[in-house]
Parts: sequence; C-alpha cells; structure tokens
Amino acid sequence: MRSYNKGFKLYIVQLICVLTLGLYQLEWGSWQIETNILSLLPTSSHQQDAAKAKTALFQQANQRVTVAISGERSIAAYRELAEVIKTFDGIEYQEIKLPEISDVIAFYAPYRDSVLTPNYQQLLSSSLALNDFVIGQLTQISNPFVSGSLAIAPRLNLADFLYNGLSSLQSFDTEQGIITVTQQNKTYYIMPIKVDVDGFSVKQTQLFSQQLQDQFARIEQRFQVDLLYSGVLFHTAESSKQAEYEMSTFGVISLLAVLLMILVVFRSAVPVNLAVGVLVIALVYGLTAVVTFFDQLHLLTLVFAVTLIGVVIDYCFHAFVSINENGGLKSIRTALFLGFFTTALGYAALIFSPLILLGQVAVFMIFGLLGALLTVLFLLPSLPLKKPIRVQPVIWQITGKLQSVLLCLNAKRMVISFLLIVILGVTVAVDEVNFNDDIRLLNSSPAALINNEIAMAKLMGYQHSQRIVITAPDSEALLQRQETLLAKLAQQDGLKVKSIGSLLPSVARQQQSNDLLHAADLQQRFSPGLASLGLTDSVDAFKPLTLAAFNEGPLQQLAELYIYQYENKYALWVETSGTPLNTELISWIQEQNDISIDDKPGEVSAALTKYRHALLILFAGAVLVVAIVLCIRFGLYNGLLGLLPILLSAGSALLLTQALLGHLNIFNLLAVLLILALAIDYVIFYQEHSLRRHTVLAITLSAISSALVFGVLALSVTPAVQSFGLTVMLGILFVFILAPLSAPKVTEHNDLEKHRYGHVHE
Amino acid sequence: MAKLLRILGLTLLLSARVNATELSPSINSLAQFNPLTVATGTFVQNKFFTVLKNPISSTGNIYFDQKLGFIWETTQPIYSAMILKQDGLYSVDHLQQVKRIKNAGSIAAILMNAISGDVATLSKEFTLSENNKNQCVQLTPKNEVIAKVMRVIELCGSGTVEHLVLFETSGNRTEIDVTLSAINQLPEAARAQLQ
Repeated sequence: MRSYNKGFKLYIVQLICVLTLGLYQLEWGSWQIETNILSLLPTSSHQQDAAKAKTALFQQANQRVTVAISGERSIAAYRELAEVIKTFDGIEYQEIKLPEISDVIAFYAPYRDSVLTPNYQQLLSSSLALNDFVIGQLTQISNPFVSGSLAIAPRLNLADFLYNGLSSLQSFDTEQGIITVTQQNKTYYIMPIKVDVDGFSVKQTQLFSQQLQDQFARIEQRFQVDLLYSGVLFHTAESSKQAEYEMSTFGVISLLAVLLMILVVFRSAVPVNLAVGVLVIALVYGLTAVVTFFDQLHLLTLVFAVTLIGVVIDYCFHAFVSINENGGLKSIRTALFLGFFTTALGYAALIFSPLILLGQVAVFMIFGLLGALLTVLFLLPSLPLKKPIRVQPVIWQITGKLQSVLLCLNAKRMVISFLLIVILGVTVAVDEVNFNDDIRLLNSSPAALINNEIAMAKLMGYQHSQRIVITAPDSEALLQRQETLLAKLAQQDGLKVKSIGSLLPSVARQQQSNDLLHAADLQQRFSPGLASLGLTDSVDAFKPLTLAAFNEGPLQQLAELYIYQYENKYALWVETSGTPLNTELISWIQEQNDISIDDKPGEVSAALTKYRHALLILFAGAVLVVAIVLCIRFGLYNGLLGLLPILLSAGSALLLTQALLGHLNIFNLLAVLLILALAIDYVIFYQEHSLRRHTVLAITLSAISSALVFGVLALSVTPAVQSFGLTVMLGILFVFILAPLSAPKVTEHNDLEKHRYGHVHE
Repeated sequence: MAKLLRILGLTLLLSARVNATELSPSINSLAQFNPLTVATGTFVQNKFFTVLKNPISSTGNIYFDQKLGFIWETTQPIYSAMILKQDGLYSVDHLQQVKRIKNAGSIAAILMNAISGDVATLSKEFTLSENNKNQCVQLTPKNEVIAKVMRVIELCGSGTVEHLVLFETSGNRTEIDVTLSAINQLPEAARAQLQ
C-alpha cells in the first residue's frame, strides 16, 4: 500500500474544506451575480450619505422602460402593447392613476389656512388684488380646484396652492389617458413600463429584454408605427450577453490553445489532464473565496479572471519541466513559493482598493494561485503516473537555440537597458502620458441602444434635466433645506423646477403662511371679496401638515417618489430642466454638505481619476514591496537588476498601448499591476535558476500561454477588458524579452549550476 | 348543435338591431350642427356654484380656427384668456402673466369642438345622447380623466351651438350663451396670438 507524506495529507484535508465551503456557498450562499459596470465603482466618497440616498431614491430608474409610439395607428398599437405586457410575469404596464381631485381637496381641508403659493402671498397686501384674483378664478370656464374647494376655502388660496402645486409636477399632456409628447407636429404616445429586475438572474434579464423587443418589433410591423424604447434593462441584457459570450469563447479558445501547446511539447495527454485538474482546483479556490468575501460576483470579475489560466499554467510548466529532472519539484519549490508570495503581495494591495472589481479580481487571483501552488507542490508529486512527463527532444533543441539568443541579450544587458530607458524617456518627453477617465469611453452598449436613449432623452426633455439630492436627519430639516434650494433655483431665469415642496411645505413655512393669513384677515383684506360673494369665513388656527400625515393622504405616491427614508435619515430630490444650471448655482450646491447634484457619469469619471491616482500610489507601493523582496533574497545589486526589466516592461507596455489606443485609462494601470505580478515570477526563476534550459523552456511556455490568454482579451468589445488585455499582452512580450537580462551572468550561471546541482545542464 | 347555432345567430342579429336603434339619436345629433371651421363671436357665461346664492357672470370674446387653435377671452368683470395653440394650452391673467397649462389641452380642445359644433370629433371622447325635452345633445365623457371633472356637457342650438351647459362632477354648473359667426380668416391680432 502506497504511503503518503504529511504534506499530501494536509493538502487533502484543506482541499476538502475548500470544496465543502464552495458547495455551501453555491447552495446556500447569499451572493448574487452583478452585471452593471457602474456597480463596481465606489460611491462618491466625500458624500457617502448622498450616494446612499441616490441609490435609494433612484433604484426604480433601473427598473424603468419607456416606450414612445408615433404614427397614425399609435393608440391602437399602444392599447395592444399594453394588453400583451399585462400577460407577462415580472413586467408591468404602469397605467396613469390620477387621484380624485375631491379626495385631494378633502385631505387638505384641515390645513387650508397653512398653505400659500408665493404669488398668493404677494396678493395679501391688497384687498383689491385679492378681489381681482378671486373673481378671475371664479370666471374661469373650468377649474376643478376652484369648483371643488370654494365651499371649504372661499379665499381660494387652497385652490391656487393645489392647482399650481400639481401643475408644476405635471410634465406631460395626456390624451385618452395616455401620456403624450408633441415634437415637430408629431405626437408620441408614451408608455411607462416597470420591469421587476431586483435580484433575478442574468438569464431573466435577457429573457425580459428579448420578450419586450420581440413585441416592439411585432407591434411596429402590425400597426405600421414607429416605436422608440429605452431603459437600463436593454443595456444590462446586451452587456451580460456579451460578457457571457466573451467569457465562454475566450475561456475555451485560451484553454484549447494552451492545452494544444502542452500536447506539442510533452506529446502526452498526462500533462494536459494534470493542467486541467490544477486549473479546475484553482478556479474553485478563486470562486469560493470571492463568493465568501463578497456579496456580489460581477461578471466582469470572471472576464478578468480568465487571466488566472495564464498564471496557473505558468506554475504547471515549471512543474512539468522539472518533475522528472534532477532535483524534481524540490528544485523549484523556493522559486514557486517566492513567486507566489511576491505576486500575492502585489495583488493584496488591490484588495484595499475602493474599486470592488479590483478587490474581487485580487481575491480571486490570490486564492486561485494558492490553490494551484498547493496542488502543484503537494498533489502532483504524489500522483502515481504510469508514464513520466518528458519534454520532446525537438523542443529541447529549439529551447537551446532560444537560450543562446537570450544569453546573447543577457551579455549586452547594460546596453539594452540603457537604450530602452533612453527610448522611454524620449517618448514620454515627446508624447505625454495621456489618461482619459471619461466613463462613457468604457461604454460597450450597441450604437442602436445608445441612439434610442439619446432620442428618448430629447423627446422627454431630459437633455438638460438634472436631479439635485438633499439629505437631512429629519423630515422638517429636509423640507426646510429644500425651500432654501428652491429659493436659490428661482434666481436662474428659464429654469423649470419640479419638487414635492410645491405640495408639502415645511412646518415652519406653513406657520409663516398661517401667520400671514391671520394678519391679512385682521386687516380686513378678505372681507370685501367674501362679502361680494355673500360668504363669511375666518382663518383657522395653525394646524401643520407633516410628512407622516402626507404619507397617509391621496398624494402618498408622490411622496414615495420624491422622498426616501433610510437608516433613520431622509433624502429627497428636486428636478431642474429647461436650461443647464449656471456656474453660480453649481458652485453653491458644491459648497453644501447635504445637497449634491446627481451626475452619475460625471461622478464615476471623477472617481476613476481619483482611483487612478490611488492605483499609482498602490503601484509604487507594490514596486517597493517587490524591490524589498528581491533585494532581501538576491542582494541589492541583483535585486535592483531584477526590478529593472519589470519596470521597463510595464512602462513600455503602457506607452505602446497609448500609441495604439490614443489614451490610457484605469484598466491599463490595472494591467500594469498584473504585468508586475507575472514578471515577478519570471525574474525570480531567472534569478534563482539563471538561464538554464529548463527555466527558459518553462518561462517560454508560460509567456506564450499568457500572451495567448491576454491576447484574446484584447479582442473583447468591452473597452475596459480590451484595453486591459492589450496592455497585459504587450507587457508579457516585453517581460519575456527583458526578464532574462536580470539572470546572473553566464560565467556566474555555470558556477551557480555546479554549486546547486553538482553539474552543468546540457 | 345546428339548432343551437341558429339560435345564437338569431340572438346576435337581434342584438345588432337593438344596438343600431340605440345609436340612432347620436346619428341625428351629428346632423344637428353644422361644424364651423373659422369663427368669431361673443359669450355670456354664468357659473352656478352650489355654495353661492347668485351666479358669477362674465362676458367675453371667442376666436377659433380649427387649424390654428382657440381663444377664450374674458373681458368682464376682469380680463383673462385661455389660448389653445398647436403646442399646448396657455392662460393669461389680468396682469398679462402667461402660463403654460399642462394636461388641460384635451379639455380646451373639447370646449373648442363643442362650441364649433364638431360633434363628430366629440363622439370619439363622449357618448352622445339626445335630450328630447329641449332639443339638446348631451355628451357623457368616455375618458376617465375628463369624467373626473365633467359629468355631462349639453349643447343646444339650431345650425350652430347657441347654448352650452357644463355639468361638473362637483355639482357646480356653467351655462354659456354663445353668438358665433363664420368668417374666412381670424382678425390679425387673434392670429398672432395663436401663432
């Protein structure tokens, strides 16, 4: 019976633990898959409160789909689409439900003398003005607010308040109960649809999107109408479809390419099977760690995680090349450990990054590589292999030639390094490093969907619309701050403002209104008008309308739309449109801690800039860690010599990427950190084993496989993934050429071989 | 089975006849007014509020052109105007302050169609019935939005609409006497307001 060593037994125990945890997370874990790229980005750090409030207030926006139908048979098309949508589970046609005017008036009756419009306040100074106002209102051909409230509020301040309050919140006309927008003599019939997109699978998003798009196409054809649609749903469905496609395609292509290479080199299926086994274990480790540490697993994390294949295969190649040679796996154990340790340290810096994506990728890679390392070191040597893994002689011959070339390069390393430094320096001086953090450059939605969004924004008048969010510890403070903001906004001409303040003033403002009415009543300002109507009425004592009371009334849906309570705090939003906010207003808002403009693309771009700077600091930190590790292990001179190709490769990759793409972004910097991690492995192996054929072969195979994997990512249509892949691929090529420069000199190399293994390898 | 189908067929035929008989007043009503396309005139309006002893009276001018729009101009006791243009409904108060009124365009369009006697267009939004007592046409809104405000509109007159009564859901009513004359083109000032 075969006896197993302690390391192997421990390996099996921990493998079982990881598999059990993985199965538990798969079956009972609370994690879910996330597809929105913006969800990966940090919330506005200086206003965490505002960010939370915005998420709470605008979460419904992600569920909204808007359809605009135009053409001769628009109404018939609209009705049929509405009927079909009613039959879909999870998709809801949101019919306009207007509250009964009589209910609204009855609700406000107890507060009738606490509400005034600014215009009515101005009238209070003159009996004549008040009388003219009342007569003007009463002679209107039809004003349901006047008709309905005359009996309970004959001063008509309530009718004026409700009419103006509701009108200011109403953006659109209606026809036969349908919202309409007229643009260039063409009427568009607007259908709001709500899609239940909370916590369901990616497949369901795609299903909803497909269901709706099929119906839109059918309705367009059947009724010969033009149909425009917009909504986050369609972008999510498209991007998730694209990510899934890329993940499966790229994953399969890179895996097949790498496996083919193994077959060519070793002419045996054993290394293929072993490599697949190590990869599977690495993936299980990586995924288990991510779903354990994070509530969400982003699809983009999985796309980036394809790179794990390249690094894991690197370990496998070192193991396969050395397993049946002198010293076996023990000879590379130190280099593997050191490589993993330094790489993990590099990634560990990312865990503390505020970008969730970086954190997820780092955790996935660290734990995936740990799984691969443990498997290579403890499982592979214990496996009973019928046939030893041997490199084909022809491969050794090719490696020998490559080794000669690398030795030549190594002999001229000072010249090559100097030349590269000069070239990089001149390039940077001539063509400045150009970073562009605009999030819109990373948008991968199809042009048709983006055009639809633009057309819908124009139609609905959202082009210059902005949402301003206010947060406060209580509802009264919230409403008072809103009134301060509204007063500021009123100073800009042409600005249209929508806010709940037109129907729910603060208690302080209501008290002030009540006081004004009392004062005007005492001065007999209402008496002539009331007398001419044959009516008498006195001003009520103050009774405040609170948010709690408002929430119990017929306009509760409006309160829900504009005001949100979260974590014992309150938030509301005010919408401006018609013209962009002027610089004075923007500056004023930026000075307020509790008021902020909701500008997601702007905020994300600003966040990207901020975190790009943070990444540069992290990058410097990682370089320092690597330098320390290398200097400790190999001495100051060799340590710095090892650092040189790493830095030169990263710099060259970045500059070449800029030359190809025109600019750099945060994902190129992320790629640099990965280049660093991969390059460390190569440099450590060259430093540990010099330019031995085994090392050259293992690193060559690793570099080819990594370049294949990352080269595939450069073909992605997602700009973030594409720029990442391109930089890493270029970086790997540079590292492959430059890392051998750090190896000990040829004479030293032979001495080293003799010293370590008692002979010089052929 | 064949018998059952025959009975069903007969029932459908009878019900169709009944429906045709029910529709006949509407068809008669349609012939009652000759729709005006361009017209001008005056009105006298009396609003009867349930809480007031006396009606609130007002007078003014009407201008309409089916292609351009509609002006309802109150001159007495205080100036105000309601202007329905192609791009929406506007109100002007006695201080000449102009306001765009959202979501009331359909009510204004109904008023224009009612005054012009365009019963055919009104029949899309209203159920028509004839009041045999006073030879008037009664319009009951089909649309829920309009029904929240207006219970019934009564149009009376011969040839053109001469008397109009709006019965509101609140119980109040508005009686309007209209004198209209067809013209070829609206006065320049009115055209300018509608463009």
